Amino acid sequence: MKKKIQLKGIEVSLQEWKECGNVKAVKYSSNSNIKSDKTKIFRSPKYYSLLY
Amino acid sequence: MILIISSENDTMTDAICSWLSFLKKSFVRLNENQIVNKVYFDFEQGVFNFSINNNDYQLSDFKSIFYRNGSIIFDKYKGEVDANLDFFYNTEFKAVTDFISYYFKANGCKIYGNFYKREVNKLEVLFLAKSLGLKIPDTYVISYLEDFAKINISNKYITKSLSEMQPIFVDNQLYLNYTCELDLEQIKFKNQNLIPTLVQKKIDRNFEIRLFFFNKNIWAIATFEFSDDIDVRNIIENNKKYHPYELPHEIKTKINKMAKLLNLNCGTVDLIKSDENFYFLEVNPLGQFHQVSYYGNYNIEKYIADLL
Repeated sequence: MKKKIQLKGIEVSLQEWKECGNVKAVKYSSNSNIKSDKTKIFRSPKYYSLLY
Repeated sequence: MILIISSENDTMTDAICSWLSFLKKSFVRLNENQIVNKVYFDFEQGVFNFSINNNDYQLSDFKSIFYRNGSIIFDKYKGEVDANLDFFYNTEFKAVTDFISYYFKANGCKIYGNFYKREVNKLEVLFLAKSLGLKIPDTYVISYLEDFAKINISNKYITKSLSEMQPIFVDNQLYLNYTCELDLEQIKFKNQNLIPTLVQKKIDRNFEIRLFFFNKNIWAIATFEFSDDIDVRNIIENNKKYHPYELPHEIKTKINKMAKLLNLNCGTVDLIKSDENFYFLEVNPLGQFHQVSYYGNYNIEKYIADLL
């Protein structure tokens, strides 16, 4: 069973957030200078589309 | 010249660019980490110039566009800016981006990829799929816990986001809200009022199919999973096997019709094969098709490079 994250307010949702086992290393793109610090762009080696 | 808009480390775009180099076709790849740092438009003279990382181009240089994902990003101002102004400046940038998109279309460029439509509404797509005669799993949107009494709870159900997955980072670890099976015993501990939640009957699968459609062509692979996990994205590669798959003509026709009605030039579609039935799950306009090309041995990247 993958580790779930406990989130405040989760009781109004049936969704659950589980640890992603397919991302071996979280790789940030190199555009930190053009995105705000609040936005993190990362991609998994498993061919996810761009997540942000 | 060809303009490719993509994110930096998109493996499919890498492969397309390799083919373009081999075919000696000149192209510019605009990644999200490359910025448009200068714009000069003169409507009187019909001059529309812009610079990418200080390299000057005219919009009219580009005769063929391939949009993979990401967006055109401008060199932003330095220093602190009021949030209201920041919002305004971004709308100004967007107006320029929208014009660039318009110009390419008006100038008769060949445009591939979903440059003009980058997302779809999952519910709209399911509704459309059903109306086109594709089978979809029994689907409900529920926002009140008691409404579960209206559905046959002897079946198994799954839930997934109505919109996109929401990645959450905690302690440098990534958490995702994968598709998951509903534990009907556990949901009674939830709040009576839920946010609207997508619930679908769990389909027993023989295998899952991912297809990529592009310009009325469809390539598909079957994915066999040797794991109990519902979300194939959550299964490690070693527990999966892939095989090229030829879809029935009827299914292909319906997928192409759906793409046309959704105004999508390309995208990936996930299906479940359950005995004799094909169940439509969802379409992703920016979905990854590397696996389809690689495991199906379809060489889709060459096909796209030839078209551009």
